[in-house]
Amino acid sequence: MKRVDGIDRKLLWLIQDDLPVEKRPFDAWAQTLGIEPGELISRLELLRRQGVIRSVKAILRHRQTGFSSGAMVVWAVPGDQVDRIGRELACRREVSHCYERPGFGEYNLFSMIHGRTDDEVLRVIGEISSELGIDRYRVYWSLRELKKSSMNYFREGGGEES
Amino acid sequence: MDNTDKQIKGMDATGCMDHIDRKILSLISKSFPLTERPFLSIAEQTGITEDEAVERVRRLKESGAIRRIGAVISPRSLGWHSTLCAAEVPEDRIDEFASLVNSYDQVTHNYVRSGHPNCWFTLITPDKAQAERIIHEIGQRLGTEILDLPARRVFKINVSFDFHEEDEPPPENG
Repeated sequence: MKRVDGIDRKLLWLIQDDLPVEKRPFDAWAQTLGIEPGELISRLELLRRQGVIRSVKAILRHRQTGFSSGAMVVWAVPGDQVDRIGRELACRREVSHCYERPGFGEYNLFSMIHGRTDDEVLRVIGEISSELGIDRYRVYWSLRELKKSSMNYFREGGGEES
Repeated sequence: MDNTDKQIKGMDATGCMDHIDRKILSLISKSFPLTERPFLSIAEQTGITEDEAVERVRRLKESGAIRRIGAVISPRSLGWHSTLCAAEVPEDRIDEFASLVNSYDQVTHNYVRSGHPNCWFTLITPDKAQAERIIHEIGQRLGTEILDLPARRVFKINVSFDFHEEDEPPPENG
């Protein structure tokens, strides 16, 4: 757990919002914080190196970018193979997320798998199943998005807004 | 607004993407340049002008291809707790479920999925106790069991994806 100072807290609060699309997009934020844009950028870089900020990037909507299909696939993996198979899954480009999650019966490895079409996703799932020798798995297609938002870690109860 | 917007070569009025757009998306979905003039850096890497880079990114946001540009914060590095929850909700109670679950700011994603259980949501809280309280509350109010499935180990959270359980796939597939 990293310690963040007052300016960093305010910065983290700001940067979870949307960056304005203009030539000098960081200037307004720097002004809000009362620091130079250069200092704001070096603070961001430091927070990224410390791992507090995972990345600064554009977050895409996949339906507009050609990856219209995706499924959560849960795999039943013997306990002594979770490590190896988890790593193997993580190596695949089509797998965006992979976690070990106990508590869901025999299904202990959770993954998100993406493709252009449902068939493509199914093909990848079949490949993984045969290559890694995991016979037992369940596919959960996304049918309806009820909520999708970004967490703002410093907005709630932080008392930093001024 | 479309009338005043400059028409960009290779892009039609509905905002269809050309190869430069794809290149920009590929670039900035991995990492947005941390410089005082990030669009200049994007322009240099894609062979266009800074003005055009600004204009194209603006269009990609208007068309909905880009949801947001900003930081993805690691809840773990701040000591926060995150978990995936699941519940079986009958079809005729999904709206009720959605309005209850979505009313919590701590719930970031909520999906109806095929199979059983059919409802899956992610929860991010400052500590484990708060997550457990919320899960208990939701379960009580719906009269349903809520499965709490925090990760024991993280094997992959793709850097060009968002943090959450289901999120953005890579912009290119080779």
